[in-house]
Amino acid sequence: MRSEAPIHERTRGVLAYCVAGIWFGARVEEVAGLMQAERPAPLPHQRDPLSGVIAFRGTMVPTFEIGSFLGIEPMSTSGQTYALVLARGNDRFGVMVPEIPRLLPARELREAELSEVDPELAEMIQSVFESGDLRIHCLNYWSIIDSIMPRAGARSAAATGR
Amino acid sequence: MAATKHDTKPGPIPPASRRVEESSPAWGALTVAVGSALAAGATGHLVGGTPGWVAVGVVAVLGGAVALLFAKGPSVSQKAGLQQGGEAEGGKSRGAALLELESIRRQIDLATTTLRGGRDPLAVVSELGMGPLNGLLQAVRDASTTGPVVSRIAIDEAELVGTDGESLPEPWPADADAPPGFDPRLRAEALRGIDAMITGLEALSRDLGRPGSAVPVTESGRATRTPAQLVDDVVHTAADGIEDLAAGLMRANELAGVAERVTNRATLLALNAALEATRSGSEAFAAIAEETRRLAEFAREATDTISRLANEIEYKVGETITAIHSTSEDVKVAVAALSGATPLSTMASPEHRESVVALLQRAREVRKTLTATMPSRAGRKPRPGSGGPEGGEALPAAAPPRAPAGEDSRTQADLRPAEESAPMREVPPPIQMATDLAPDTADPSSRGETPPEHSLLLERLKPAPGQPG
Repeated sequence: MRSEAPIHERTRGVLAYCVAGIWFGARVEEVAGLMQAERPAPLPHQRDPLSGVIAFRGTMVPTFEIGSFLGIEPMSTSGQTYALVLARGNDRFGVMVPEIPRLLPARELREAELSEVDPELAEMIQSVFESGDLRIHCLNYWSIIDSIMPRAGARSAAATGR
Repeated sequence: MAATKHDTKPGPIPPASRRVEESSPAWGALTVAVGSALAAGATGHLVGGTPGWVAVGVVAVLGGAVALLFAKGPSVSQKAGLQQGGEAEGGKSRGAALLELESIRRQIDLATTTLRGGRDPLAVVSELGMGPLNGLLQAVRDASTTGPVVSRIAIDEAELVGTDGESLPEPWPADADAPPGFDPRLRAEALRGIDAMITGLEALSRDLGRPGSAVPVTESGRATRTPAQLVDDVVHTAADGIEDLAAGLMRANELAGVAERVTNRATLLALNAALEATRSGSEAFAAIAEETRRLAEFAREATDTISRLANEIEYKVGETITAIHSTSEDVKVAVAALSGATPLSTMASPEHRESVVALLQRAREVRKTLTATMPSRAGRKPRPGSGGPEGGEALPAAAPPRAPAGEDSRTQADLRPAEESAPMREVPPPIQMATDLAPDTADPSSRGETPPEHSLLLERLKPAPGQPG
């Protein structure tokens, strides 16, 4: 899991957040922005972990709850939820997190190996960083999003067998 | 005493004597002297011999002196003549007799005045013991010790003496040993006061003997507010004020929540600026992001401080309200105990009962002593409708037997209710007394134990370990 390149070349920082005592993170290069999203607009025939859509800088962004996806119930203790908007090209996707993430610069991070106690999360975890006592798991969000909402082109290609 | 019936004060001058004095005092004296000589002649004729002639002289001199005395003494010219010694030898004798008569008259006045004051003239005025009235006054004293000369009929507080009571002096004091001024009227008042004190002590002993509470009532008949109620009102007022303060603190907490939301927005703004700076690599964006982050941190610290202080104050106010409500009951109990609203049986110790009983017994003894020193009213008919010994209330022929002072049976008897001990001077049987004063097992104070509410107070008053005294 450890990459050959130094950490400061692979990321400039990590936005870390805690869900049920487990710290997760997202590299700042993947994050388009943060916003407070208390009541996402629900979608028709919406199923978990989707939570609805939010308006982010004039665009409609679908969101899902990371806690619900990971099977962790309590999302927020303060009643407020925040959306971490990820960007890949023109695609936007929102991850609902229970608290305001912390911005940890690369200088405060050191790369760590995935522990053997997390075998189930191994496929979803892209990298693991440590900052002080914190052990931050950076997830492969786009693979998660693809598993939740497959791309229309990929689904049609699979259906036609081309 | 019969002698005192006559008014011995010098009366007004008779008109005849006044005329004699106005016309010529010398002629008046001469007329009396002639009368005296005739009387002396008669005396000498009756007595006979040399003593008879001496008696003639004496009667003559006294007659002249009496004449001058009725004429208010000699005139100024006569006095001057006597002083100058220009008159005859008979004039000197008349002057001496005049002085002697004047002295007798003054002694009579003194004796009369003293007797009207109810005092012994021989004891008060020493001059009377050596004068001519000594024998007469001694005879009056001897007669007074044997009994009243004039029989009296009691009519309420006053007494009718003979047919002319106003002009008669008081009888000779039979109780000469009594202090001056301690007359039967004062003694009756003292007896009434002691009766009232005994009644009050009996009521107090009843309260000590059984549980009960007295609710103070105003003159209009409406119950007043007890100190416990006043304390309760004060406590409730304080609790209401603190609850209002707590409501204000809750509102402040809500405003602190709003400030926290603003701080969160500032933090999001700082994070977004930092993300943009990181993505773009712009130094300017990085500077703006850094300042925004500092602002967000400052706002968060302030918001956290406000929220923490508000929570602490709210917590302490809640504790204070709880403490006030929990302490109010203890305060009410304490105030009630201090003000006497608590039943006496729960707060009076056995020592208090003993003290009250001792006071009651002492009052009864004083009353008995006063009753024994009262003049004998045997034969007097009690007047209907009058209360007390002076009003004719029949005193007990003999006091019922009492236990010696300090004996338990009598002490316990004094704690009986009034309806059981009436009439007041009757002493109940000792067995009943002992039963009434038997320790009440339901009353903690009678068992020498501390009542529960007092135990609570004592626990609060106990010094903490290590705390001085």
